[in-house]
Amino acid sequence: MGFKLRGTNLLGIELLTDSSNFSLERIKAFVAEKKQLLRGVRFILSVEDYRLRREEVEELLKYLYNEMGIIFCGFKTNVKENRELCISLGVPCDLSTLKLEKEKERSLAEEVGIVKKTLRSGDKITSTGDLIIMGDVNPGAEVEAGGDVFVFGSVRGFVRAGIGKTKGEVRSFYFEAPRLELCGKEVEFERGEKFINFRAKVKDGEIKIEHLKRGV
Amino acid sequence: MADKVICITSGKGGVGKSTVTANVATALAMKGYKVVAIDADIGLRNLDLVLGLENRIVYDLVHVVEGVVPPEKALVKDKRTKNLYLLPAAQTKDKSAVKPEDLVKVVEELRDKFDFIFIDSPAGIEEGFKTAVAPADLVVVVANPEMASIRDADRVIGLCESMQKPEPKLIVNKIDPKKVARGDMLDVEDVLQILSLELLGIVPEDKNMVAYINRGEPAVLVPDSIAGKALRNVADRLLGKEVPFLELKVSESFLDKIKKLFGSD
Repeated sequence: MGFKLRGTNLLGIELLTDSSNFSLERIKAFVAEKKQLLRGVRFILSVEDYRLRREEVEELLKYLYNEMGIIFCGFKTNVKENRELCISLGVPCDLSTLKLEKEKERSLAEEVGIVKKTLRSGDKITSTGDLIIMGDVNPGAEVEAGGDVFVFGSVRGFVRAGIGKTKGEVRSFYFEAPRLELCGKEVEFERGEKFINFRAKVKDGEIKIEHLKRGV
Repeated sequence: MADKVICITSGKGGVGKSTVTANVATALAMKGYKVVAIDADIGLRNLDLVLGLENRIVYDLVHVVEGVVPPEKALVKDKRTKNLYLLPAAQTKDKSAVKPEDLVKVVEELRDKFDFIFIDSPAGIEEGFKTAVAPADLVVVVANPEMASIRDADRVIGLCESMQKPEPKLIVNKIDPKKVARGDMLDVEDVLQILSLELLGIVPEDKNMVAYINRGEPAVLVPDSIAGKALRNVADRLLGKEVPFLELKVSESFLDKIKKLFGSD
């Protein structure tokens, strides 16, 4: 269909459109197709470099509210006229420099998960943003985070951090796991290899490991 | 009074759940407490063998659950140890024959009549395990000092947590000080570092254990058995006594002594 969906910080889904692919019929068809996914979440339509017409907005609103029952939260645009039009129709519209936002990987309101227990074998914790674990990650436990992972304890299980990001880090007091995934890059460790004050970092596409003491 | 209904579990099979159950139950009965050991391993019963009561079973747990007999009638009294009773598992049925609420009901009926109720859990984390843990006031996890056993124990501890049980206590079983000294076996410290639970006992490997089990004689009844002593200590700790852990020292070999004499390492 040529449209992109992306998650936003407040439990929402944003549909990205621009001057090259904006078409009312196609948006309607796309929304109808993704009806299951969009039900119950906040829906935002991002319009880049395309000037909306009054009847287009009216028809779209009617469709989203009445026919699909979607929680439509408004528009996001970089065109001033679109915002004026939306305001006159009583629809929320954010004027944002979409370009800047696209470049930024993370939003300030991204989720930060705090887990106050030891993750035991079979436990799995996920977070779309950073994750702080006040306890250990035992063998057989899994941690998945869109942001950084900080463990105030030992890591012996599997940690996957920085999913979909190009920068990120994992820190722990003690590390003795067979492997680690950070920003899509995987590192394997020797059997029995252990680190004290462990820190793995991805910067400029390279994964770097720092530690206070290492022992096999 | 300490916790009354105690479930012994491990996740992994063969770590010594039934042996620990039989011995600790016997040790408490020897002290004059009225104890019942319930075998919750339906279909694979063996607590009766460890206690030497296999020839005296008439009714079992499934008969009780099905209402054929009341719990008291199914209990097998140990002739050798006064105050010790066994509620055996059925050998002909499987784990689905007893549901968690059934066992809770049976335990509630027995609760007032006994000082301690031990439940020997089956291996695994399926229905049988959940049934065994359901009525417990205290869950005791038995682990061997090996990674497979530790990982399974860790999983079981996590499941107990999700079942809103109080934090389990740990018994490290079959530890061989010689192998630990050689670096071939994990130390109790290593086990504790991963599982981080309160330690209830350290039971050393005892080469005579198989013989005791085959004879149906719990090791706690044998005065010079080191494992028996460790298990008697576990019983004391369950009563709330402060008992130091056995010091498991490796006796130096003749060669080691000579090496030491000449100052070489």
